[in-house]
Amino acid sequence: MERVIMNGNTAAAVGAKLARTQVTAAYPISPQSQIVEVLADFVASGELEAKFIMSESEHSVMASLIAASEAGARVFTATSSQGLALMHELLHWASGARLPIVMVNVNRAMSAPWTMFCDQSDIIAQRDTGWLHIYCEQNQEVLDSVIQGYKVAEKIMLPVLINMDGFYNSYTTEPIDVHDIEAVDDYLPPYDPPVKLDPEEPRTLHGGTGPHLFAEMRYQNWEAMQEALPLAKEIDEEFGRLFGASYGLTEAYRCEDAELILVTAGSMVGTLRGVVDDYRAKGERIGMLKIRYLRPFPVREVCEALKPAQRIAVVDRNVSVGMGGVFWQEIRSAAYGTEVAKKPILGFIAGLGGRDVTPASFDEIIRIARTEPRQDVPIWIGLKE
Amino acid sequence: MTKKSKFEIRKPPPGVSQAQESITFERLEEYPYKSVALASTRANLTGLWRYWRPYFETKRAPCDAHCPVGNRIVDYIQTLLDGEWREAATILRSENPLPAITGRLCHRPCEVNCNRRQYDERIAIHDVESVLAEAAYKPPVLVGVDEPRSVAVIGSGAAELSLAHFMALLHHRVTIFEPGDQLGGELRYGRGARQLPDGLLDAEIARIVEDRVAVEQRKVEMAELEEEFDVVFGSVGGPEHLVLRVSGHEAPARTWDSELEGWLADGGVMEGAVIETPSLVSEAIGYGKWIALILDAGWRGLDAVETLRQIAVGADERIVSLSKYAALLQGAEWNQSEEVVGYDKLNLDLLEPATEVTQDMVQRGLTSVTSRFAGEDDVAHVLSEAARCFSCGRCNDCGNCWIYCPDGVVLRVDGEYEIDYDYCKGCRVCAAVCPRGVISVIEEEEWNE
Amino acid sequence: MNKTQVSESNVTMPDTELVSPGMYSCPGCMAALAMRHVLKGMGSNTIIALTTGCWAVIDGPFPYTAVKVPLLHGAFGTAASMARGLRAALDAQGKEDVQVLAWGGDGATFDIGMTALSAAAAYDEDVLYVCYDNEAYMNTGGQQSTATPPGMKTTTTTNPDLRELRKKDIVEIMAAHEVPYAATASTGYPYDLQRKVQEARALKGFKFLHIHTPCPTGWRTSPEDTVRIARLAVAARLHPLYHVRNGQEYVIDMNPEPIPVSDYLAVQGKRLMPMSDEGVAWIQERVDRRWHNLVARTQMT
Repeated sequence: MERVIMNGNTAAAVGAKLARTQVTAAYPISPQSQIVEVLADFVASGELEAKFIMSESEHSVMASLIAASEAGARVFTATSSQGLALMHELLHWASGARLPIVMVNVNRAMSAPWTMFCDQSDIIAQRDTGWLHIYCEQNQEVLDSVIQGYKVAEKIMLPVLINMDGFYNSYTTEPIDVHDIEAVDDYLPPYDPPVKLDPEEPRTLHGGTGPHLFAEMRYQNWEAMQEALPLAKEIDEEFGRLFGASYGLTEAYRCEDAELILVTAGSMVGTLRGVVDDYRAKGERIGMLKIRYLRPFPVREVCEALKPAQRIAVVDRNVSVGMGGVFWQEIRSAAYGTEVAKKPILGFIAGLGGRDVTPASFDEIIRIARTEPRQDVPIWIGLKE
Repeated sequence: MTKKSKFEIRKPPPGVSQAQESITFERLEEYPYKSVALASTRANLTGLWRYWRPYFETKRAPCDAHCPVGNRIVDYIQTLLDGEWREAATILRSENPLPAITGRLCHRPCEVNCNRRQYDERIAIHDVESVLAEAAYKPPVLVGVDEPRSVAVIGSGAAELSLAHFMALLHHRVTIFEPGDQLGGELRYGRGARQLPDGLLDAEIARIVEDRVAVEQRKVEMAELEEEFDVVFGSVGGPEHLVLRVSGHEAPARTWDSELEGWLADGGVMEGAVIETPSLVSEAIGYGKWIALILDAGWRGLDAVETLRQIAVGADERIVSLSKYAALLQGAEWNQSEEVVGYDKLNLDLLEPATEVTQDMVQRGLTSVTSRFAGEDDVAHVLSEAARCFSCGRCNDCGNCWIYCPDGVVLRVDGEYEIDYDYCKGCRVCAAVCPRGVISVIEEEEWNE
Repeated sequence: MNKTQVSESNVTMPDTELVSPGMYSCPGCMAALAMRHVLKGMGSNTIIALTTGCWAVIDGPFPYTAVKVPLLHGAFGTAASMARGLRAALDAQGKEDVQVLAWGGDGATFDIGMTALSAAAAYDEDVLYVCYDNEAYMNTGGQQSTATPPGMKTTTTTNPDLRELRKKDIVEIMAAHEVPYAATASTGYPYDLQRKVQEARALKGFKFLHIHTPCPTGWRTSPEDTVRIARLAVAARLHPLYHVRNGQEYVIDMNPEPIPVSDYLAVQGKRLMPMSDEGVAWIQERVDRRWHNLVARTQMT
């Protein structure tokens, strides 16, 4: 194991290298481009034995990786926002095709207005594509999630999307533990799919179908995603034993006796951690629930963690215009019919388009969360009057 | 009711089945975990789509249809092109007892009607016939009628030799009465005789006579023969008249033309075609053959009209085929149509590349053709002429139907073609790309009736 | 002796059938014939990257298939990008000998898959891309594509001015990418097609085949006339048979006796727009000019 200073983009690329990815397809987009540049260096130098496809669009990136995965290769790529959106139809395809593709998404707001800066709107728009969604708080988690991602993906044959915040994670340097590749090999065996394209055993994949067969095929995705819940936890714990870090599906931080629990995901979690410690130091019972897996949604774990609270505040760095932040909706939906639903669950919109979410932002959120009655619209933080 | 979720990677069975099997998934456990094919489209019987049904049907080429002897010209040409000289010669000699003669003396209606003539140059069929006449062959074996008849042939010109040959082939007892020094009649003494190389006629006559036909070199009168023989045929009172006399009580029960009815009325004497010049030698041969086969049919109790209908070549009922007669006697079906494939029925823009004549092919021909009447150059020439033959109406394994069938349902095994009707959609591309009109089309409904 | 083994310019027509009957193509479908012949030439050590179009349906619904080689269905316009992925994955596993065949119709190639095609060509990916061209989006009922030629009505034709349709010269576009091998072919000339497949297969790098596949259903012609129509298109020089290596060396492969464009238009059936003499003359002039340019290119050193 080596400790190296690197930013989130590099960590993602190193994760792919340690996972011995075999094919990567690349297309540049800020703030992700560095990931594919680092990978290109690895491939050119021979540090990573892989084929590097320079694509002409993200749609082609995903099409190439789908085909490469079907042909039996472990594949990887990274993208952001517009690029992620451009591959949207193929995200559905990849999960429907039961392909264990791992992709890192560097969260960037969807245009228009045109911007390069961070929010979760890009990934939220892909929420229902049938992929597993992981939200990383910091860069070590990015590297580790890439490796974990392959393990869970290849067990249940579903693809995995790993998010890190653009600029906050992607361009922030931190000290990162780079695990020994042999240790990773022990954890992550070579990719060996049950079905692959091979002239020795010819098969046709994904011919058209109809009402008489489709539902069961989709149901199998549901089954696999249900299996992903306990499995993701299991492989994360195993990872922890081997490499000393595990992250869980969620992390309940100082929630056991919290009066107010704030729920969020991504780099905001790191800021919130410090805020919770500050308030606790003053004797105020604030807790944080970090959502790491949005899909599959860990309903039971979330409800358990939120039980102690009298009030709940969900902080979304995204908004589904017309309804509210998506994490807010997910939490309320998960809480339905449980004790948690009796408590006021308030939704907050913050940090859109890369606007910084600071401890002061959380002060405002906490102040409002403590007093505002239950409402059916989200509360916008940091907006100019 | 919510189903209890049970995760499983349901691996499909190995391979894709090529059997004609329908796959239905009754329970979740039967589904593969991803949408992979398990069987081929053979489960989908596209033959049920068919409105038009194509089928292979050998038809008659114009050369055959106009040959007065009833030759199977396309058959022997294509057979020799395939390198089967002995078989080709057998086909030739089963229909024509004097090919070496006709090859040189016939007026060649085959060539006049040859479709290739409208394309560039006619095929020199007469050369093929002349050379093939010199190849080794196997005489056909036919089953004789229970009671063979006695046949007297007066004279030994083309018609007489022909009748003698076919009667002998059909196991009747034949005697030729030739008043002259040598057999041959007009073939020896007529104008065309000069064109025949020395010894050629003798060789041909020898093949006919062999040890099957008795020859008496003396002059006879009809009256002398009537008592002794069931049939008397030949030039009585000079070469201008051919006479046929059959013992009255054994005349065929039905007649096919007024001439023959008259013959019956007259007690069995019929004036036949008059041979005046050797250029009509093929008609004379055809005539003798026709009489022989019809009489034989009558003696077997077969209906003359019906028999003629079944053994005629082309549209002319006076041209008869021994091959068809042999099939009839064996009770075998003759699946070939007498529909003539004219030039307008050919698809020549889809003609396959010509067969290249190689030295090997020439050498192979020379192992069969060993007489002094045909040499290496002749064999080479004949092969290159044969290579030009369009094979009108007869499949020559050009492969177009197999190549162009969009569904690959024209099956081809060792040059034999078959349509897989379970899957044929009836698009008729095969019929459209056959250069030579072998594929006919019928409405599927009509076929089923 | 099997006469189809007699070669035309040294082409052997392989016996093996790599498609099964029962496929869902219309009677007389030239796209089906094209696949049959291309697979004969490519052999069984081939993986097909198939994008949406007629062939996605022809191959049959899940769980059936008409081909005897591995085939991957993919979203529309992804034939070339999937082919790149296949190539990379195969090479990464040491299977450089496995052939990759990208298969798309004219819509998938000229329109929605154009960018992916261009990238695969520009990066000289070692794959063979075959475009089967029935000159419209036939699988969805016959909408216009940029492969629809002048004068041919489609279900989305709004402008009767036939000058609006120019039919992209896709092989020239490929030649501009300097690919090792780009060629036109026709199901009316299967020996020529076979030779081209076998030549392409033996080359490394990006190869492109533009196969003209007349469609009786879409063009409203009788199925039995389809081969003849394909050949007429070549004779009328609307789809000349040629190939170009490295964007430089042009060779005309077959040059049948030319016919005027009007002879070809006469057999077009109900898809032909009402056309004036000027219209026909305009088409003829374009065809002549294109032929003239092609001949000139064959004479470039």
